[in-house]
Amino acid sequence: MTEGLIPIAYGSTVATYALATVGQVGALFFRRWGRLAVWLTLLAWAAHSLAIGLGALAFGRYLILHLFGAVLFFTWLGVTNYLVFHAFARLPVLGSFVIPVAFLLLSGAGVLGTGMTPVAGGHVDLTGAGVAIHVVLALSGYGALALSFVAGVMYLLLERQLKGKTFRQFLYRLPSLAELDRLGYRLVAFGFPLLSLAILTGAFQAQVAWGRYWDWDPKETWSLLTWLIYGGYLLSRRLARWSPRRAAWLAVVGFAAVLVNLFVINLWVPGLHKFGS
Amino acid sequence: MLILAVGLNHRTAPVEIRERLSVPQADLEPALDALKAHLRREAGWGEGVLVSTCNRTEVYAAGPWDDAALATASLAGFLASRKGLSGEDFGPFLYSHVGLDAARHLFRVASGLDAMLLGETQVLGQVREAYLAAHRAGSVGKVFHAMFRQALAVARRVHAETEISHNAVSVPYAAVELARRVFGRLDRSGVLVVGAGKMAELTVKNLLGAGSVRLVVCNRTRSRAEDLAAAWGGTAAGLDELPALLESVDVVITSTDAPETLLDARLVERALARRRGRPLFIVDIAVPRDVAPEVGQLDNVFLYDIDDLEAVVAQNLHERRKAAELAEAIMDEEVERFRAWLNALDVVPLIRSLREQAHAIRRSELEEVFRRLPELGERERQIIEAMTVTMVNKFLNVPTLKLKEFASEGRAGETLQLVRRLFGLDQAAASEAEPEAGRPAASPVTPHGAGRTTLKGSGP
Repeated sequence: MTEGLIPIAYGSTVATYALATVGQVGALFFRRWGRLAVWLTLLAWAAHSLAIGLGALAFGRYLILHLFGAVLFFTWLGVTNYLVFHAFARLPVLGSFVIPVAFLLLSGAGVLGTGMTPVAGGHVDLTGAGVAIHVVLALSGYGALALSFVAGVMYLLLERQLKGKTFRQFLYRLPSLAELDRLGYRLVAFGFPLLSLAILTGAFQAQVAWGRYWDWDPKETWSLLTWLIYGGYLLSRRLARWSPRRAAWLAVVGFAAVLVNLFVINLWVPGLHKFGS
Repeated sequence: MLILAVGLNHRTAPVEIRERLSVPQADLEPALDALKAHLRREAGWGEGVLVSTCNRTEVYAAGPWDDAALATASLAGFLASRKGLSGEDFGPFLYSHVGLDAARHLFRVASGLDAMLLGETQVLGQVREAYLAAHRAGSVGKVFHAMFRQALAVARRVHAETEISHNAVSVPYAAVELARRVFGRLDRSGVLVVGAGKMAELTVKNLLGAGSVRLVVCNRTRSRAEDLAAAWGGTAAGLDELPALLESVDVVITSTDAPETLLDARLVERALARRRGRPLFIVDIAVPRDVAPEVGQLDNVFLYDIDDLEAVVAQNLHERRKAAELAEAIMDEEVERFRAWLNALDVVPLIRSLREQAHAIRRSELEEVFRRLPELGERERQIIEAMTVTMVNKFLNVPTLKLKEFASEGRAGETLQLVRRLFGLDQAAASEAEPEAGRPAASPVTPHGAGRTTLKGSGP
């Protein structure tokens, strides 16, 4: 029953995100759209929450073992994070970048992973609470890192305008370079421990299920690579050796690695994390 | 009733003329009293507001004039007479707006569309002050309460919905705005000024206004640096300290008249290595330039010379003009709303006097009938009276609705005149109003009370 409603809820989620994207991008050019854009975003978030609720009712913790459910879940975390930020910090224009990214991720999940085939797992029971914790940690990390990607893109855009000395009007309303840099740093500082814990719990689960902590499974390898990129980001900030511009690039590259990890590895590269059998 | 705006501004009159007519703050209260007296003498009653800034002096008045030209001349005469001059002296410099055009003019002034610096917000405060002063002086009635409050709301709407007041349109302010794009808040930034010049001084003033607290003044001659540091509230430094200073400040303003460059890429690069990733914002307003152009290509350095800043200002001005077109559309909408309000103001008293007249006739006829039929009992009397009330109300029902409809459609003016003449309401109003206020009763629009409260100065 609830299972049958999920496609409808997902469809309305994507549709409302499409509207919210139009509103948010439009708000860059027409200030009057700003309020409308916020309402559309809240509407999209509500539809999104409903879809997740229905998914959880139908599949319980299995939901996030599907690519589709996983994307649904971590974009929801990202957008929720953004809305909380927006309520407290009111960083202008952030939504005009966050919402299109959420829309693309959600559409991508629908196109690539509509079938609810769970992760293969190599004939191992994946229903344990340990696996669920491992996945939730990873996806929460991705949610924060997705936002740090957005902050990085905004930083690079504004930096280019300031260097090039030609301004698009909406860039005047972006947060300053310092604010974007700080925001990106905080989000990575928040997402990186989650990612680390996800890898640790994953290794622990691997020991329980397959008897080995680390197997150089493609997913494990990519996760390590992603972890190194963000570790490098944090290290460079601690040592203050790099300009914020390079750090912003690193945040963009890091999220690209996350996307490869999530979509490419899980769908097309054979291994223990591949969806479907 | 007529609404008028008569005055002069930076476009119509040179400063020698403007300053002769301007009303200084201290003189505003007596001027408003004089305006009240003038309106009472010339028109019988009226509402008036004086707006006087360094760029404009304007008198807004609403009163029962019939002839706009005469009314304009009367107000021009008032402005001039305050200075012991005659209105004709200023004829060529004055403009006047009548009726809804006056409302539109006020809306444009408040929104900064008529300002010397397109989209400036200072004038909004000045219009608010002018309105409040007139309010205190008791020269504002129903019409100007509505018109000026709407003007303030219109200006807020324009600033919220268009980008007209965004983005700096002067070089010093543009420099501050750009620094803000890099650092966000400037209240903990360090600012280094090398050399002194008018533009550098203005930029420093703007930066200090934005909250920069740590100012270092650097000059070839130590004593000159100390003088400037004392004047601007900072510390002085010599040129030899420049490399060390580059490591600690956030904003550098250079404006020396030295022919050679002051900062080259190597010097700045060395400083950058020790800045731990903090960006450096450099404004070079010297000609010839103090900073080598290659410095601008260094990562995390933002270098703007005077041409860059001028280009930014030109672009911002262009954006403001585009925003002004949007704002003009808002003016159209708002004037339309004011028109609807004015029409409703017209129609409400008309409906009231129409009903009063009908019921007066009904009552006197009813008394006549009761006098001739004394044998009627209480019950019969009640039934007959109720019947007359129903008849009159039912008869007036359609005209009342139609009148309100006309008013909301904005074509009330002539129709209302016609209705008034058709039902002979003018005489009725005249005999009613005359003994109380002594204002000409023929005034078509005057809401009962508006003119009176004005003249008695009984505003809140």
